Amino acid sequence: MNELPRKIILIVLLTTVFTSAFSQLKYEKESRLKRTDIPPLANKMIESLAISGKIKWYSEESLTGNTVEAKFRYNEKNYSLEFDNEGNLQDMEITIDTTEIQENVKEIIFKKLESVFNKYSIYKIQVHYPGKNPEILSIIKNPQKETTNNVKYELVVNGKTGNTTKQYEMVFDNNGILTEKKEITQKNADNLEF
Amino acid sequence: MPTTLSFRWYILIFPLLLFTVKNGNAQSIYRVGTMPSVNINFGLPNNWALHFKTESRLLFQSGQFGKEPVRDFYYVLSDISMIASRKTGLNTNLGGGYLVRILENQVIHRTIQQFSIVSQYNRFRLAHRFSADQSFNLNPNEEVKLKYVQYRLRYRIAAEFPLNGQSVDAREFYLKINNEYLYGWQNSGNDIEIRIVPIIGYNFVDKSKLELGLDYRLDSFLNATTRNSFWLSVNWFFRI
Repeated sequence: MNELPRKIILIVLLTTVFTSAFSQLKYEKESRLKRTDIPPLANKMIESLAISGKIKWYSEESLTGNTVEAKFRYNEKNYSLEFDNEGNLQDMEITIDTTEIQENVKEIIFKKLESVFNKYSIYKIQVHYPGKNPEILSIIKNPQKETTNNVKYELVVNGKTGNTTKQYEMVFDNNGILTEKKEITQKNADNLEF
Repeated sequence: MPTTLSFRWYILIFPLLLFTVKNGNAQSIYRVGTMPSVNINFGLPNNWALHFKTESRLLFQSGQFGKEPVRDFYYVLSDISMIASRKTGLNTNLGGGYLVRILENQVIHRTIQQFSIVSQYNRFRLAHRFSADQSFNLNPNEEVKLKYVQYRLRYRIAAEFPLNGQSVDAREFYLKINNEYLYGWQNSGNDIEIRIVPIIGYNFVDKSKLELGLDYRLDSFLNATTRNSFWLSVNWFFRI
């Protein structure tokens, strides 16, 4: 093979790797799950919570694999519990507002957002609790004000850079340090706009 | 979200009540037909896009409520339009374009301006579209001797609900409901038109959707004889 095409291929590959390393596109596809398809272990765990409201089960497909999610509303908060296909708890997400983030962590997050965007607005905030310890389920019945270690904050942010506004999913660790940033592709709205 | 439930009730009940009231008028006339359309969007650089649309109307039946209908299949018109639009923000779009309406014995020209806002909520999308159009008859003939300009202001609210999951993904069905209000005036006359369009759609992939539903229109609202139109709406949306 000639030297020049080889160099071009290498440059293209390296460019792709470096530009995609930090900022990626988010892909998720979810569909409702029939009762018979819910992993028994996951179902048992949710039933043990004795939630009075409706619980919706989804199968979620993403770039990292397939999972099962249970979503419900309890005490005016939206909860989402994610399980693997065997029914083992992976993590719990709770939708919160900015006032529920620790003040010092919030300040670091907002400073980061101000440095990344000319202008931004926060569409949604979720706090992630890792699921390795099933005792995190006790948070549902006993919400705690202090966060634990390994908690993450996932923000959906409408951010403007230059003249363009896009939507991003940004994940911050418990200290407010940005660990992940993905652009959320807006779904086609031609059938609504025209 | 408190307003979600009340919005859903509004979008279903109010237009149905309106239809019931107007249907009670024995003088009302109606027509039934089909209205297929093809919508092709071309994405351009710098958030620009071109929207090309062609739509036809075919009439099957018309008449007055309570009387024997006239069943006669005939072609009513074809519309060909092109709108250039630009995303002005994450959820907003501004556009302007031109439409040519071809009828049996005349051609009508129309200029269009529109602004739309699409918002994503937890389990549905809501769109507001504000538009204005101006229609011209530039070539008077024996049957339509006068040149005219008709002005219209329009507001449309549309909601799209996924029928599987929390968002409309590829290979999934959705429900879409449009409700539009049009106010038009020409010379000294004016009129209001209300449209309600419930539709079932199928998302093949994000850039290809097929929709089927009923386009109900109530016009000649301010006159003694109101007109009800029932069009079978078949729409294909494709983005290149």
